[in-house]
Amino acid sequence: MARKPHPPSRKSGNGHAHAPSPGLGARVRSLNRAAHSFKQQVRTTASDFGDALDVRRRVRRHPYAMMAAALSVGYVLGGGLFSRTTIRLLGVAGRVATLPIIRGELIGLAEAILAGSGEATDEVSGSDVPSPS
Amino acid sequence: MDAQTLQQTLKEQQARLEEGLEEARDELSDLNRQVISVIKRRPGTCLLIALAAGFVIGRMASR
Repeated sequence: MARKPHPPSRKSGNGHAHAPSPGLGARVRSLNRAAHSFKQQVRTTASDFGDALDVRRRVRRHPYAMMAAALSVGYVLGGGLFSRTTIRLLGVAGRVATLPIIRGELIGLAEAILAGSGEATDEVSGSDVPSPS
Repeated sequence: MDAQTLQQTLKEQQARLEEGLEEARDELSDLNRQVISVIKRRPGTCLLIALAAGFVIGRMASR
């Protein structure tokens, strides 16, 4: 039995028919539209993000804190987090932060000692030595 | 120099020092107001500058 030859078709190997290829101009226009759409989406997302964070209001309220936060973020992004400078800075910051606490404790201790010695002196003067009046 | 003259001199020095401190405080207060005003006028720019400065400092620290 002789096989009939297949009629000439425009199908490719995967069975799909080839669409007529668009011209270069159409492709460029399509790419342009996609780029515009992407730009719009990025702009909208950035705007929404800005609204959600409300950066302007935060900066107006706490200008120095926001600047410090931006500086810190930049520092971390710059790769300075795990460096010797950071360790030194943290050490200095820790010392500065604990200094008032230690000072307060020492003052409290000194006051307690002074009060204790004052009471002891009063007791001693009250029991043994007669008051001058 | 007797004690009274010394006391007078010390009082004058103290007054001068207090005056200088007051001036310095006023100048610092002015500077603070100006800086805050600039930050409030251009928050985005200032944040970007701070971010860039932090990045540069971080880069320098990591080396």
